[in-house]
Amino acid sequence: MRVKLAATAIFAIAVGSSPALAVDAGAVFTGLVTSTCALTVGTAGVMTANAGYTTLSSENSGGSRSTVVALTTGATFNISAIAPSTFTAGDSSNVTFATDYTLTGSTSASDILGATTTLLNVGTATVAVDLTATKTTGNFPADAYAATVTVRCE
Amino acid sequence: MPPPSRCAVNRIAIIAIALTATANTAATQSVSPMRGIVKSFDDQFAVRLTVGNPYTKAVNFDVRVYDENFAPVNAVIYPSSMKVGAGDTRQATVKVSFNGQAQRKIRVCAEGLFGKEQTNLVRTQVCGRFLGLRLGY
Repeated sequence: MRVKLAATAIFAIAVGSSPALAVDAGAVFTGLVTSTCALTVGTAGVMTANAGYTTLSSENSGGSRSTVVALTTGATFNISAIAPSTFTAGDSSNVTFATDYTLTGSTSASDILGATTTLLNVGTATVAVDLTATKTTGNFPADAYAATVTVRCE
Repeated sequence: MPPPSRCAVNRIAIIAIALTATANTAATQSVSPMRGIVKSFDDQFAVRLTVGNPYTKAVNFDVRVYDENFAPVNAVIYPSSMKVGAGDTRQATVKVSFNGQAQRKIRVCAEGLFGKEQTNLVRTQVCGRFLGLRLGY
């Protein structure tokens, strides 16, 4: 009799509690990140003249590099820094241009020649670009000079 | 360059439909997609890509088309210049001829110029690589 009562009680509890039983249902989320490269310019660089006024360079005293942040979501993208062929302002006669770049962050590399491509790891890397303009004959006359380096991610 | 006619734009859309299916998923990336194969029955193929502006202010971008050696390619680009708002995206469509070849490799680049007040400017160039395949050629 006691067993019967207990069983009835358990049944009653079970029946009484059934409406409150949790029912799990999956709420599905999907997400897609495309494989891409995003460049964000940090600071623009400044070129200064050397003592002999034969080079204008961001590596000379008082000069500063340009920085660009490269964010990649895939491991198939290359970075490079293409030197200009002329100044956008100022006399470009007898001038050669050279760039190099240093990578820090998700990818590390130092003083890579600008035209050389470097494979970027997934993540965020800072590209610090140097530009040097060299006068092959004579020296730079007084003027305001400007040049454009192309930072390429492809 | 004058904008293409409505008929031409419709034609571009039809040619590029396979690629745009993946391009529409872009968020704020600079260029998406960055790789693609476009199959076309026509003597030209088209690519539609999304240019994103990750900056906190509006930026002007140029869209340019190059070949494998970064020589400029004659292409219909619409729009070839665009102003993209902060954190926003805009689409551009590029139409390129096969030039009598069965396939053609191109780069489509979004270019921005920054630091105009400095002596050392930076041009950012984010390029997608695309292969056009001419079917039945």
